[in-house]
Amino acid sequence: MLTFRLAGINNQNFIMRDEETGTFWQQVSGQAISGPLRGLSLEAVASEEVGFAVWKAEAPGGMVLAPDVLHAAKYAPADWEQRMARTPTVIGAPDGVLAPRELVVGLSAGGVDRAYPVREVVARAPISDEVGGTPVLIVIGPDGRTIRAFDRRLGEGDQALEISRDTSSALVDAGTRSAWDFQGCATAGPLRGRCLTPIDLLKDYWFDWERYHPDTSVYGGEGR
Amino acid sequence: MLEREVRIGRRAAALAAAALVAVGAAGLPYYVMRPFRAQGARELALALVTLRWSPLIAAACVAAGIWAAIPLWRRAGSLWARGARRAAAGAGLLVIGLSALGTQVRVFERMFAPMSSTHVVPADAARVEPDDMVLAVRVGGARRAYPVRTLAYHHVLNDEIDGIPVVATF
Repeated sequence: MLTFRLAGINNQNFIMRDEETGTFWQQVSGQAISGPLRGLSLEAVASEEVGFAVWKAEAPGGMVLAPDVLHAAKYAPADWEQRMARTPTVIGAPDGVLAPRELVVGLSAGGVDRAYPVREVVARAPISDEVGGTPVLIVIGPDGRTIRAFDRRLGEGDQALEISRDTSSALVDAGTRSAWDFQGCATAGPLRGRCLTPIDLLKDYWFDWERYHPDTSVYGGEGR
Repeated sequence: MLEREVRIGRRAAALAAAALVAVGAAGLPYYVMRPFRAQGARELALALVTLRWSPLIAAACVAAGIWAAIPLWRRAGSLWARGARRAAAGAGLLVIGLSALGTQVRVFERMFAPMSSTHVVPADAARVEPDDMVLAVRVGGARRAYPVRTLAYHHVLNDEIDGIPVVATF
């Protein structure tokens, strides 16, 4: 078991050092980049950025990390994302596709990486797309902030569902008119009880996502 | 006499070299990895190797510095010459000593304080705004939320969920 400390900075993504072996690990990838365990990777635990109200409703019995009383007064203010947007970056981003500090959610499917600018998702969700042969659905939660992605097939080899918002803004699929909730499960209609498989999203700044996914495409950009 | 002066000259050079190496070992990692600076792959690799070994390098410099300073300290020559030699030896050792102390300071952990506790509370007792974002994980049957504003300050949190050690990073 390793204990991690913040030990360095690599182009605005930080480097951790474990106290047990002195190996250095890159935060965004979990890879050991220097030291005795170099070449190994930490196993990723699936995680997502969710609005607290959405999480609380979905996770009865869930536990929340309490603040560290020694430092809580210095925690980021509620508008810290807007402040960060004005923080300079050091590596820029190629082609001027997006601004370096543009927030994106990135996903990887079938060996293909794609970034979705958060403002595009907020404006257009639900978004039906196809990434690396996988039909994906990007949805935004009832809080207008939380973003999730799902595989639009119920099983492998199944036809992809076409899911959009109906007039009462509920998510329904065109084939069966079943209603879908934000957890990707059908709550009414013929498919009731069936659930779509979630796809991990990484919320990141464009400059950082692009650096670690150099072949990424951008939703709304070329080759969309 | 000349032989002795050559030896003192050599030791003075050794002391200067030890001081230079010590300053480099302590300073290079933070020069390369300072915030708002782009890092190239090679300089970053060198910075990390240096950071890993800098306490040992600095300790070696302390030993070399003391060895080099001994003849400089000896009572010989005019008062003026002796004073100059001792001042140089003292300055060299001071630089090496401060550098060695510097290698013991984890600069980034001072800039971004680690969390001192991993206390968790039920969702109803948590003082988190409904609109605040949390980093949510599910390990085994347990679900846990890390408020983003907390993680954005500490950046690294060593935790354990259902007996599984996890590190939450932001």
